[in-house]
Amino acid sequence: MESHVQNSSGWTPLIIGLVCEHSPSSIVSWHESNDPGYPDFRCLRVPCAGRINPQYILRAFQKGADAVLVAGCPSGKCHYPSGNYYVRHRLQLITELLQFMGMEKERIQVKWTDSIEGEGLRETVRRIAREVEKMGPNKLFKEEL
Amino acid sequence: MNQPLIIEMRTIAQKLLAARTVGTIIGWEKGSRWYLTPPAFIHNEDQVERLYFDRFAVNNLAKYLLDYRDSDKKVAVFVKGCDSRGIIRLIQDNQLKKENIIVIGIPCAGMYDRAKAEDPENPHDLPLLNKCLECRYPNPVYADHLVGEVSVSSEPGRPTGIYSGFATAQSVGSTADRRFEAADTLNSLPSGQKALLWQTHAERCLRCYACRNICPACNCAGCIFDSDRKQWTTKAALQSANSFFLVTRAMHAAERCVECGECERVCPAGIPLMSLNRLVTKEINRTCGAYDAGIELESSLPLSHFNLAVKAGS
Repeated sequence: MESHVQNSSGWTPLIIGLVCEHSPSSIVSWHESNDPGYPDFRCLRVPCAGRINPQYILRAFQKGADAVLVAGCPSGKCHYPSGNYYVRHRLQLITELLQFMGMEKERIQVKWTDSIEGEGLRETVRRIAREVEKMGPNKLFKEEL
Repeated sequence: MNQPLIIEMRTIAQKLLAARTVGTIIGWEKGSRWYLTPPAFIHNEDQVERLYFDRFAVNNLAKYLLDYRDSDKKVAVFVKGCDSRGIIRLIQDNQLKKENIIVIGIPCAGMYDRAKAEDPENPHDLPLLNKCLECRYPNPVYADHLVGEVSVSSEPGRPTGIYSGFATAQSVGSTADRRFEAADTLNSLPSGQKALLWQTHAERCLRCYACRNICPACNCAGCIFDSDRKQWTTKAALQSANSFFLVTRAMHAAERCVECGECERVCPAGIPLMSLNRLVTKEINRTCGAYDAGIELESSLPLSHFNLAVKAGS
């Protein structure tokens, strides 16, 4: 992983993306960026949003993520006709549950690509990074060892 | 005052064992203290006198049936309303076969809360457990036999059977409509406070897995927390790993939780586990439509099936 230019406090938010590889936003290439202000965004491409186990989100926070972006296809546009139908309630549930445990809601962003396509994935990631930078690093669920 | 019911329980147990219909009967017996009525496992006819039932028989016996999964003889089990929902859950998860068990429904007038006992000499003035005050299904939702004139009902309702008057006087189910209140109050706190609160709970968690072991929803043969090779989390009882366990347990019990409150009762650290379950249940009710787990054998689970009529949240 290339090193990233850090902001004044010496910390760059780490954003983990769980992105359906069929959604248009995943085509955007984020790793060839020359933009020094771009956050540390690491993307896990999954064959379908339906593949996302809610535990993945928790796992990302365990391993030090400051925010998690989940992107899947909007209703009725799933490549495997119904994957996103199965996952939408589960994602909502884990989001609510994590908020109940004290996680800020800005740290878990579930986006159906309709809402990303407007500004593009790169800009979405930047916006999330700006929000997260205000809150500081995430400590919840982060492994001590 | 439970005497007629206990006699009826013993009679039916005697009958089943004498007819060689069942190999084991799971019920309750009087324990070594006035406030203890632990589970009893009856194998012989001469032991049926051990069977007992009072308002401390709080244990949910559904999970014990899994120990007899491979038994070549049938198992009979006594159930209260909440226990019967647990049995439906186990059958829905294909952990049990309906044909291999005999479910005997008993009337429940709510269970006493020992923690609130101030005068051990006068146990009849005890208040009920919160879960009984919040109970929506006091009658068995599924049973092969019934004792104590109780009736099977898969609708939320008032207690039936020989103690229905007493149960109503004890206000069983009186706060059922407000059962999400505690979780809502917690949820309305600012996230910093919530984080701190759950962090202290997670620090106290021993990871003894008592909540998992008692839960009729947690019935996987191989739990992700039993194996290091699955590498979801460490076995060390660290705060972060404990938080991970608390969330995961609530997620895995989602759509399965029958709200029997056993997880919270058995927790040696006193972690309010039911508030997590309630939040999940409420969220499922909100997003997927009204749903109570473990009511009908043929019902489909809201998270495992999708309904096009239900709108996505975001």
